[in-house]
Amino acid sequence: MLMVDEKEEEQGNRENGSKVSRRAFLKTAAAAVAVAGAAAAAPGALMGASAPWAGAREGPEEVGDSSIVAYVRNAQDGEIVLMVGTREVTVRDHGLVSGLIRAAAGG
Amino acid sequence: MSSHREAPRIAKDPVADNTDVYAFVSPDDASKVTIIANYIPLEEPAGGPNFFMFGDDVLYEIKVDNDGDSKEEIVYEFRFRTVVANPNTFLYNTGPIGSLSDPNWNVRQMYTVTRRRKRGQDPKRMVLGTDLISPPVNIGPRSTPGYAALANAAIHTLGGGVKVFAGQREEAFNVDLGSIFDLGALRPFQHLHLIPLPAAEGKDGTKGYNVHSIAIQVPKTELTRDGSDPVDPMAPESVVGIWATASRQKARVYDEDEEREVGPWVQVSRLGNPLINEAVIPLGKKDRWNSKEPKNDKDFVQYYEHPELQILLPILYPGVFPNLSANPVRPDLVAILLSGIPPGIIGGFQNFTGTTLADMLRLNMAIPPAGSPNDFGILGGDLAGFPNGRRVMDNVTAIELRAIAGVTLPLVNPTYTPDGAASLLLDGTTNDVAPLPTFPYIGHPLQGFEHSHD
Repeated sequence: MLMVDEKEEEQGNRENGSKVSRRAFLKTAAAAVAVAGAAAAAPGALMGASAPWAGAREGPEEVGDSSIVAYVRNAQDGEIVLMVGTREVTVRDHGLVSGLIRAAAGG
Repeated sequence: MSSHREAPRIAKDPVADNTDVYAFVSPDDASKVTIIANYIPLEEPAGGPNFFMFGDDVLYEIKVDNDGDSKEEIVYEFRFRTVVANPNTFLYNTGPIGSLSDPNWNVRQMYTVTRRRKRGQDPKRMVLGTDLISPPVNIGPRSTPGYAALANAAIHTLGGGVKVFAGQREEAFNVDLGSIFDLGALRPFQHLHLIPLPAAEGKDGTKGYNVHSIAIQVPKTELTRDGSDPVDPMAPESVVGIWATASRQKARVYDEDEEREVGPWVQVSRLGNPLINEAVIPLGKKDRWNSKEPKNDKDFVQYYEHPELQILLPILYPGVFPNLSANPVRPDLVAILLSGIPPGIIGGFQNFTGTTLADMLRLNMAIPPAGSPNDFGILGGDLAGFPNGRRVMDNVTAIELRAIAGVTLPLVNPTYTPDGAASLLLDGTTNDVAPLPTFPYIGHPLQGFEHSHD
């Protein structure tokens, strides 16, 4: 389960002037979207997506109840950076990125 | 300023802004070295009710290279934690603070010091002290009477002959900000400026302000690569390179009234030699300079070889710097600031750390403290001063002005003759607060109730 806070969507609309301009932005290949997810939910969702773990420095570690911040660094390459505690893991998953972009656009 | 608000990004993040670094053989105990890293520029002493403090979300580090590879072999980490005793008042203190355990003191900071070492030295990571109290800020005669005693009680002696202090201090760096950033004017020489005004005394732009200092004193033997006591100034083992950094976690999320930081530490501030990112590195590279490690400084060498200020001085002071106007290449500045001064340049002295170009404060620990220190350091014939490390009283503004104006170029290029004015340059400021004779050496902070910027 990945969640996009509606407040973030509203904030995005305010910043970009309209929903249309925000969606146009999201369609660009280099779109970067930051999503803060509930830690207990996000790891399961990511693992469930069978994401190839690219650039992970070590094997899976306990995440506990820490916050995770997911950052779509390069939508075209399907590259997502997950930040938890004082480390980060890079995931490459086009399907997940597409899902995040759809979710961020509210669709 | 030395490195206050020196780059676009860090100017917006004062809590992480490293303003000055000092490193010197302790004048009252020559077996030890003191390193001071200052943060938070231009603290107005009266800046309540939320007075200045270290960032709980910032990783402050002092780094030491002791084998000439321009990478840190020893790191001292400082992490802070703020405790508010009573959140139902807006007051920093609810009465006079008579001691560090006084219940009237409402907002306290504690810190942990950890030492990290590389290369198989055990223990690799060691907590040197936890829950060390930082003193309150200096508010005024009602809130913080007897401030010196209060602050001195926050000097902590740890195991292994290590002392630490972290807290508010007087801004020891002096510079005529108002004049220098008004088109490079130096008031004592402004009658010679392109836009002339009558010559005048300098005005210290940092007068009346405070900073926050992290000071640590360690035995020299803890810093040398082999644990030896450095006694030979010409031995490579006697020289260490020192710099300080501040880092923040990669992501920050504001969620209702909560704030969360997450992700790896990212370096946002760095400082070795004074005034470099301030006045040598150009605007478009300053944020990048702050984020890089010294071992990568070859990327910036062109700005040391041809500093912009060298080009500006002959333009701003027409006819005063005819030799400098040829814009000579500056291997002297590269040596002093990026590799250290090699043997054979200055009799009985070197602080060379090898061919890797890296902006570090280089300290030859075998040079004893001066009996009569000269605030022009090595330029004044005092080998215990800047650029052999840096003492609190060293007039680094005038030293670097003179160096950039060409005074040091003949050290490596004997055919160059410095302009007559080069050895006279200064901004005409002094710090009117003398350093303390003992640790942490940098003066007690000015109080909010009574202070002056004039």
